[in-house]
Amino acid sequence: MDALLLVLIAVVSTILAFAYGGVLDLITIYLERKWWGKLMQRYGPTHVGYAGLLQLIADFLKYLSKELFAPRRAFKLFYYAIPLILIAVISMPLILIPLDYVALSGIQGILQLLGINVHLTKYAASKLISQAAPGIGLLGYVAVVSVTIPLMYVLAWSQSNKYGALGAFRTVLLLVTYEVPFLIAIASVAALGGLDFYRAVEYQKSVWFVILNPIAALVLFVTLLAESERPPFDHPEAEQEIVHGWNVEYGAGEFILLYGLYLYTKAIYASAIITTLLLGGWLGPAIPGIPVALTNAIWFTVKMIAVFLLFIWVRAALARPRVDQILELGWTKMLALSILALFISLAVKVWLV
Amino acid sequence: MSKAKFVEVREKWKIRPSVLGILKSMKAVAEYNFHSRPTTLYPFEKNKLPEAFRGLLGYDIEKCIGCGACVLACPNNCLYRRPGPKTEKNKPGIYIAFEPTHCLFCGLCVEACPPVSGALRHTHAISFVTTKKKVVWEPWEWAAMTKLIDEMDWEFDAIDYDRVEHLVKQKAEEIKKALEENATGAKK
Repeated sequence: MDALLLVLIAVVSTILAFAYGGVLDLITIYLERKWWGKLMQRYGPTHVGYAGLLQLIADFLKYLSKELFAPRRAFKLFYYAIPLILIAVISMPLILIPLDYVALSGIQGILQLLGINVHLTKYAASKLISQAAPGIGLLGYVAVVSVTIPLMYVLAWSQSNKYGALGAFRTVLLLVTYEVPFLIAIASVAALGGLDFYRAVEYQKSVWFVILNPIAALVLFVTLLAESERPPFDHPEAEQEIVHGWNVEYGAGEFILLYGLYLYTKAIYASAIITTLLLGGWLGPAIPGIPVALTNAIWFTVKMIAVFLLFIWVRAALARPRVDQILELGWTKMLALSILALFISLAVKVWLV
Repeated sequence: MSKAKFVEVREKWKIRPSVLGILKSMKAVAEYNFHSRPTTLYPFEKNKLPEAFRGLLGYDIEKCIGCGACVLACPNNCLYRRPGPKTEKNKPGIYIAFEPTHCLFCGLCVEACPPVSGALRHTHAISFVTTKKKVVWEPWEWAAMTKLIDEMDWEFDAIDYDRVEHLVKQKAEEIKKALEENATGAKK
C-alpha cells in the first residue's frame, strides 16, 4: 500500500515537472520573441491575445493542422520514429533535474497559504532518485545529452537531404567539441559541491558557486549555450545557409517536436543547470508573509528566466562565427579555461577545508 | 569629407574578436531597450503627421469674414463666393463654396486667409473618392465635411464620399440653421 502510494506520488510529480517545464517553455519562447524583437527594433507578436500572449498557441495549432508527409527517398521508419524517441529521451532529465521538486514546493507553499499543512516535497521523484543513487542527477543528464548525438545523426541521415547531412555533421562536431570542456566544468563544480543537485544547492547556502569560481561559470555558460544549439552556436540549424540543417525536411507536428520542444527544452535544462549549480538553486532571501516552500519556487523560476534572458541577450548581440572558429574556441580556449577552473575549484576546496 | 565619415563609422563598428568586443556588442544591443521603435502598428495605431502636412482643405464657417482672399489666391479657380446670412463676424455675408474634385492641394488659399479669420486649414484626411465627375460643396456642406473629418477621425483615409454624402447633407442643414439663427437681421 505504502509502495503503491509512493509510485503514485512519483508519477504525479513527474507530470507536474512536465507541466512546469511546459509553462516555462511558453514563457521563455514568448519572452524571446518579444524581447529579441525589441532589441532589433521590431514589435514581436502583438495581435493574438493581449500583447500577443496567445500567439504561440495559435502557431502551435497552425502547425498541428498541417499535413504530415515525408520526402520520397526518406527512410520512413526512422523519419517518423526518431523525433518521438528524441523527445522521449530529452524529457528524461525533467525528473533528474529538480524541476519537479520546485513544482511540488510551489504547490505546497500555495496549500500552506490556504491553511493546509502537507509535506509534499519529500515525494519529488528527483529527490527519491537522488536518495536512492546520489549523483545520478548530473551524471544522468550528461549521459542523456550525449545519447541525443547519434539520434540526431540518424535523424538527419534518414531525411536523405544534403542540408540535413551538413547540419548533422555540424551537430556532431559541436557537441563532441563542447562535451569535453562541459564535462570538465561540471567536474570543477562537482569538486565544490558534489554531483548531487540537492547537496550542491545546500552547499551554496553561504556563498554561490558563481562567486567562488567564475571561470567555471563562464565555461559552463558557453558550453551549455553550444549544447542547446542556441545562437551564436546555432551552426547545426543555421537558417541562412543550410535552412534549418538537421530538421530541414520536417514540417507540421514534427517540426514542433523538434524545434519548439526539443531545442527549447534543452535550453531550459541549460538554464536550470546553471541556476542549480551556480546561482544557488531555489535559495534566496525570504519574502515576508509567504511560506518558504513558495519562495523556493519563486526564486528558482525567477533565476531560470533571468538566465534565459541572458541567452536571449547573447543571441541578439552576437553573430554566428565560422565553423572552424567555433571549433578553435572549443578545443583551445574553452578547454584551457575549463582545466583552469578545475584547478581553481580544487584550490578553493582545499583552502576552505 | 564623406570618406572620413565612412572611416569613422567603420572604426566605431569594427569587429573585435575578443572578450572586449563581445561585451561592447552586448552593450550596444542593450541600448536598444531604451530606443523607441521607428515603425508603428499602422492600422491599429495612427502615425504622427508631419507639421506641414497638406491634407484635404477644411473650412470653419463660424470664423470666416467673407473677404474672398482665398478665391483670388486659388490657381485652379475651385473656390466660389456664395451669399449667406450676415453675422457679427461675417459682415458682407459672403461664404466660400469649394469644388474638391478640382482642388490641387497647393495650400495657397490657406496662406492667403487673413489671420483675423483663420477659417481655412488643412485637415488630416488625405483625399476622398467618389463616383461623381464633379462635386461642389456649398459653404455649409464644406463646413459639415470638415467637422465630420474631425469627429470621425478620418486619418490617412481616402474618404468614400458616396457613403458619407447623406451624413454631410444632414449636418449641413444643422449648420445652416445655426447660422441663420445667429444672423444680425434675425436677432434684432
